[in-house]
Amino acid sequence: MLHIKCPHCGLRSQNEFSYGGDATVKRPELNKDVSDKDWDNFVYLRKSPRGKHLELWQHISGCRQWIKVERDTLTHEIFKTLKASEEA
Amino acid sequence: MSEHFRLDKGGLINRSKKISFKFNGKKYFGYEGDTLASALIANGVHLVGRSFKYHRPRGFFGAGVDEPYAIVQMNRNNEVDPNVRATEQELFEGLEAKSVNCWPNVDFDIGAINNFLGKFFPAGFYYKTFMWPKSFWYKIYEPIIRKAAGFGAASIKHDKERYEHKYEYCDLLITGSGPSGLASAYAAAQNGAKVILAEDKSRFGGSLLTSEVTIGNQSGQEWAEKIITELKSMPNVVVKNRSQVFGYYDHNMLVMSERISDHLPKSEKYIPKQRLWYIRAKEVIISSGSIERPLVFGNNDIPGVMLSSAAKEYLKIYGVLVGKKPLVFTNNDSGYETAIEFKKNGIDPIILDTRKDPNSEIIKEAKDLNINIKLSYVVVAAKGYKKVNSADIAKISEDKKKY
Amino acid sequence: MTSLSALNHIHKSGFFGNYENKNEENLLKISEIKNFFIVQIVQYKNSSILIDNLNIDNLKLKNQPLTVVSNNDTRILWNGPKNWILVSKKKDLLDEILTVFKETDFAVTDLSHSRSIIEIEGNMVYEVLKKGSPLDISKLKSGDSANTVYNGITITLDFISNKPNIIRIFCLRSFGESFYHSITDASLEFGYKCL
Repeated sequence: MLHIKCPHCGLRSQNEFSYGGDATVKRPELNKDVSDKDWDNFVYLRKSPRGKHLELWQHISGCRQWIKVERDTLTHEIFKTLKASEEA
Repeated sequence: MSEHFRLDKGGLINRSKKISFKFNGKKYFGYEGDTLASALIANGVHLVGRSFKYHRPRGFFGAGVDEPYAIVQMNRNNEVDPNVRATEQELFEGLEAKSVNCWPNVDFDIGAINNFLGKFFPAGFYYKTFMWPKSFWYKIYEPIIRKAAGFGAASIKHDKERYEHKYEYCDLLITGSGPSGLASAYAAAQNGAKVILAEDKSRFGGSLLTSEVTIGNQSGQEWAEKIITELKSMPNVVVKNRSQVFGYYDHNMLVMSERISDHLPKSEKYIPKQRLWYIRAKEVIISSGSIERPLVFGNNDIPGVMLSSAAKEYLKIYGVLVGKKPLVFTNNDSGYETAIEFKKNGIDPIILDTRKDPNSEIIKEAKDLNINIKLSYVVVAAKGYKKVNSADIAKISEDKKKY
Repeated sequence: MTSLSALNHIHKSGFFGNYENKNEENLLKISEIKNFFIVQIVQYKNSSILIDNLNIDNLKLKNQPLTVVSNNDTRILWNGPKNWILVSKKKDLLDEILTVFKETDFAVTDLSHSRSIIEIEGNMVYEVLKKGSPLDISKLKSGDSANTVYNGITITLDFISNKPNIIRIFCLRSFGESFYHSITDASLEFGYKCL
């Protein structure tokens, strides 16, 4: 069970959070032509890195905010957590 | 039945309180503070079960959580509890237990025929044999195989006991209350840290209870008692016995199972039988001690062959002799401690040491006590069927190629 | 609107659990709190209004995590960044709230009927909470609030007092009965009295 430091509420148990996927994925820009390949990449294509990974979590049973978590997928070490608005 | 193997004095049991219990339908007596294993050994019972496939006789091998053989079916307060280690189950008035994996009984087990027919059961025997005739499967083969499979039988009734869980946070979790566990708990607690000290057994002290050591001018056992009493009086310390830390997960989350009522004839009203603790610790000290590694020789699974540390524990904690003609086979100094304990209680042990020319204080002590020591000797095979009665021994040849 | 409370069907007053031979002072006291006025106040992300200038029932909002501002009737719990839960005995605060919190900057939602509230009082309150909540509860004291889970049910804790320990717990009304069972089951060991 991970122990995640919510930037708003402090250290909380993983039970209070919900996983939200890769935080590095960028949506194609609005009002521009997007190729099928770019859409495909945005919707489906994900890296599954072994090691450092920036991911989204939502503190669903807490302050309900989305946060960014930099976590090692191998050791589960959490390097830092950020508010969703902050850049890593 | 009288307790032939119980010493007149010694041990940490409460001799003023006699407890009666039943094993395989037969009534025995033990004392408060006994485990089922120590009480059975005190009564001279060594055959407690049968092995899984070949139904070879099984006795006691260890004295605690490391016990691989002595698994029994418990009956407590009209509820059955399968696969309980006899070495971990504390004795209570009216305890009932029976052997598993044997029919009609542990002494005369039909399944033991497998032991002699073993060579006719090659790999894949079951898959090939029980194919035909097809109609035999549901009525004959499957019921027999199901009966033979597994050890204890689970209850089909609803379990009325309460089981709870709880979350806890601490600065320091210490698993095991031996000398290092107690010393570190004491040091951390005095500095104000929030400490949880978990001990798997019912008694605190670990190896201090079985070793002849002094700390300061106190015996190890007295010192342990003093430290535990002090720790229990501190508000920042949680001291738990009968609590086994069994998992270490991410971000220092540890899981501990506390056996609250297993040692009582029945649980108190609204008190859980067991409680699972999820502990989030800042720091963890694993001071669990170590388990002795068994030596390899022929028939080392016969009842009566056991770890020397277990023999010492039965003697020191329960005042029970595991045998009256012990043979200690060792490759290090720890076997000598067991032999010396036997000698002090009027039993003459023989020590076989694989080493050629060992030299230490404890060996000198053993020699001064006139213990029969055979250096550079090994056990080749134990002899006996339901109980060990002799052993083939041999001297190691100079080139170690033959004996 | 009918005024059946969330726990009307299961909350029965009396003594339960391991209460025999115990001093009544040491028992847990469990009660249902009803007829409270509860609103959620959310300040929009792009709003630049200073909350220090806003007064409601003589209380100011405080954008500090895990805190409560309170007077005798009203308590305002921090519920997240720019997000508060106001709980009050005064049923007529809505008009005042709507004038103070302009709809251009705030979203105000009446949650009065969507929560069930249990109040527990007693020495063992923290022990009861530990039996289901993975939060380090021992760090929280009166004047704090926290959102967490209890046996999987999302709850809001409001630490009302430490002498004696009184904690008010909010959960979604539909989870109320399950949650009530969870809490009373955890309290059986200590013995409790339902008020």
